[in-house]
Amino acid sequence: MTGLLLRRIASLVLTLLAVSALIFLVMDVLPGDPAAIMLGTSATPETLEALRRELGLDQPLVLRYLSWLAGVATGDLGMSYTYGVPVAGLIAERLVVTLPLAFLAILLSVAIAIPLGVASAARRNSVVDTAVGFLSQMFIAVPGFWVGLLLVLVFSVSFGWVPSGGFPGWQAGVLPALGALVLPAIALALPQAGVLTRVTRSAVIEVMNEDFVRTARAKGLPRRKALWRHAVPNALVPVVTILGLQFTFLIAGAVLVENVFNLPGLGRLALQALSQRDIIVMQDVVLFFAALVIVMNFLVDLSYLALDPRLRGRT
Amino acid sequence: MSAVAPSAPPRRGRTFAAALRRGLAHGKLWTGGLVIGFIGAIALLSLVWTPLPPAKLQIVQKLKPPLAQGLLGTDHLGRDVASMLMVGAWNSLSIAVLAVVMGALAGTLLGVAVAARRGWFEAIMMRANDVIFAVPPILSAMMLGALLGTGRPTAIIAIAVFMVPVFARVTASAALQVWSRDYVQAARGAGKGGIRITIDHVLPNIANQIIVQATIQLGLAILTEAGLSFLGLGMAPPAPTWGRMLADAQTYLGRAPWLAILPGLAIALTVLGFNMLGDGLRDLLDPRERGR
Amino acid sequence: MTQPLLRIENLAISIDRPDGARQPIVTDISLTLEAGETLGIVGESGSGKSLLALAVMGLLPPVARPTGRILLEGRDLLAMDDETLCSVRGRRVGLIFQEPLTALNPAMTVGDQIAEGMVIQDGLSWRAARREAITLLDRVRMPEAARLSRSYPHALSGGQRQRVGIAIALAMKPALMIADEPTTALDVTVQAEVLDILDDLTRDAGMALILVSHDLGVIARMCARTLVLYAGRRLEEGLTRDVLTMPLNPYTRGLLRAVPRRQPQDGRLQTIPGTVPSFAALPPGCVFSDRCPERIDACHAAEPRWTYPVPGRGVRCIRAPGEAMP
Repeated sequence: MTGLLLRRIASLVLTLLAVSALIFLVMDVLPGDPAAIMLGTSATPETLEALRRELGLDQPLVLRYLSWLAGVATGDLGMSYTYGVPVAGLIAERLVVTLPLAFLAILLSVAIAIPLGVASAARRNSVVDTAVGFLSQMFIAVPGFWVGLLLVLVFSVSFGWVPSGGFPGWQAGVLPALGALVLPAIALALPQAGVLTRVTRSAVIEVMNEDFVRTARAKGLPRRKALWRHAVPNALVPVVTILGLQFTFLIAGAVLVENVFNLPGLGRLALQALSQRDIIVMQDVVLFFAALVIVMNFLVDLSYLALDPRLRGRT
Repeated sequence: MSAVAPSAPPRRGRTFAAALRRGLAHGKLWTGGLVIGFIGAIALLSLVWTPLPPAKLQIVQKLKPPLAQGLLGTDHLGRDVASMLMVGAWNSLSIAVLAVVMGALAGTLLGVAVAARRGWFEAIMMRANDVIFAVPPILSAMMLGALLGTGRPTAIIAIAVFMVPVFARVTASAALQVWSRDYVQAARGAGKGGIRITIDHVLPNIANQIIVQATIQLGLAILTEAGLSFLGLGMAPPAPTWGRMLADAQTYLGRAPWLAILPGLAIALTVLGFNMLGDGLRDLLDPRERGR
Repeated sequence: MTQPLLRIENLAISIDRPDGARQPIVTDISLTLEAGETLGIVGESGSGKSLLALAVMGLLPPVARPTGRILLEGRDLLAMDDETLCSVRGRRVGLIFQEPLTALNPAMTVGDQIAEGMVIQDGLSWRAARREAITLLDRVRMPEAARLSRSYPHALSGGQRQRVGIAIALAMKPALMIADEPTTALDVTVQAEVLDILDDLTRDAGMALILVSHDLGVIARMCARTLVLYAGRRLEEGLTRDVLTMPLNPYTRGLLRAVPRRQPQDGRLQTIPGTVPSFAALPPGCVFSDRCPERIDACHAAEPRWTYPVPGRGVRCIRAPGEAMP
């Protein structure tokens, strides 16, 4: 078991290194001089040269990458050009919005998808099943940010129940802050829920045919109990796998939804950095997001150990 | 959940629902095909005719609701929404199709190569896939946009790059199955080369799966393109795109809700069309996956 | 007259085919089982014996359509709603499955799987039920019962898993135990011990046992009475001793010749020529007529009736001696 864990961690570190190297390489290979872009029209040869030196652009690529790596290891991601503050601080500040948003969305999508998928599988080919199939098709097809727009239209513009966006900050209290995240989380969760519902349905259908579900029924467990106690726990592995794979799309969705709801999250930071041509900040945020996706998939790998006792015995 | 005894007699509701479902499964292909055919036709039509030039400004007629001015009303600059949606269909579809075709070609090539070579090549390529898959197109579009500028090519490349690992995975696992078959092993034993086997046996056998995957990924590409242009990372103005129409509509949500509803419906309908078409094709071409 | 533990009357089971037609599988089954009695049901795979076992559990798949009556302690299982059936399953009838690995939930400790029925049906606390599960594991001769009760099925050997299966079926002390090929999936070396455990425990508890098997040897060892099934029909029934020593149906004789013996008579093991026909393509008349070495033209004319040549024996064969009244 510890051997397995160590191998997984090693693979995680390797993937993280690879993704950072790739992003560094892409930014270097692509035409366009970051210093020139950042200075824009105000660039003079002198300021350009100064900025290049400041950014270390006069150094060879490998050296820049290594010093960036060393920086990451010590929590130093460099300075933002436009804000003049450490990038690490900027990211941390925005992370407290994006992470809870993503977490809430995952929670919501699971809370929607598992009951729908299980109900659909349990009453296969029934009207319920057909309706759930239709609903999940809809969820998958609608863009999350459009759902966000519609939610704003209904709940803030028409009913005036909630503000149309913005974030009061956690210092305003947990409830107001969570309240500001609910609609964005719903917008983010629905497309995920669509995918997860379909996966849950087919996973549960597969497990329901297993002998052990019949054993449970032979003990006198009612259908419902056999389903939830025996079929569903064994159907979770594929569901969690998709949850991990979908995390990429969740991040992409979060960038969009943050813009609909004016949430000061990482996605907006990246977009602002793009419009302000602050390439350092943008590159760091992209890397951070990619790392988040990879770490999430690592956690999914670990969760298999909790879900499937058969894996625990192996080393 | 009902407490139906396993040996309960047939219920009318059940057989009715089964018939309904069978009808739907057959209907999926046709419905999806019709929807995509309709939207494709509109997109093509927009190349030669739109009710009004989509960029024509009529400030006096701004924010008119549907039917009050033109079929679907006007936006905040008095442009004709119906015309913009039509041209938007062309812009969306062309970007999505180009991106998926490029991604599918590169991904399929990579996939069959992995299946033919295996070993360290497979290990490295699959790890590279994980890495690329970790960067959603919106983020790579930002990186590309920062250095190259935003626009149609950037959007296409960003989406296509993300499609490569998707197709590489599907192709590799399908191709590996073909490779494990006896007649392929026999061909190999007879001295046939990897490239020859790939062309003669592997590609014809996995073509269906790639077509199904491409159809489904087209839906995803439409969604991604909409997201990119919503953020201003797609085609440059004044070219109308569904995503930017939604971005513009945000400011006038209270006064002109139809501006926020119509482009979203267009996106959802197109994605739904591609997904249904993909599901229908899968049922038709790839019976193993049936009922999933 | 006291009522028998189990009485099956004219049971027939058909299956809905995907094309909408109904395919009869089990036809014309009637049998009686007294409390504490042991009955072996023998037949090749595809004879409908597993379907029969599931029917007595009320666990037929949704595509199966039974007719007739299955009276357990006087109550018709086929007329019960699922809720009532749930109170019967496990408590009045227990079932042991063929494949012990797939029959156990891979994500639940074996102790909890044994305890579960007692918690949900009998209202025991988990703590008490888990203690009871350890006792049961002990009774099925599981070494280190307390420790192994906390392990997952994948960590156990095939024989140990089947002991868990027996413990699960035994947990609520049912009056009737049904074992569907309980040793087929096991190594020969552990088969005998599992049968031994099953024999001991049902005898101790005074349980009736229906043992379903394709193996006449297993049935001869475990069961007082035997029912021979072929293509969903009973071909012969009687005391095991009588059926094995004086088989009345050519099919039973064929089965007996196919049983491996310690001293082979002529060096080769005989088999019944041909295979069990599919239910969609049964021969006309007697279902065994196309493979029967003793067939005559009349065999193809009509399906023979179930007859009672001697008290306590039943047979379905027009050539069976002493065709007599029921």
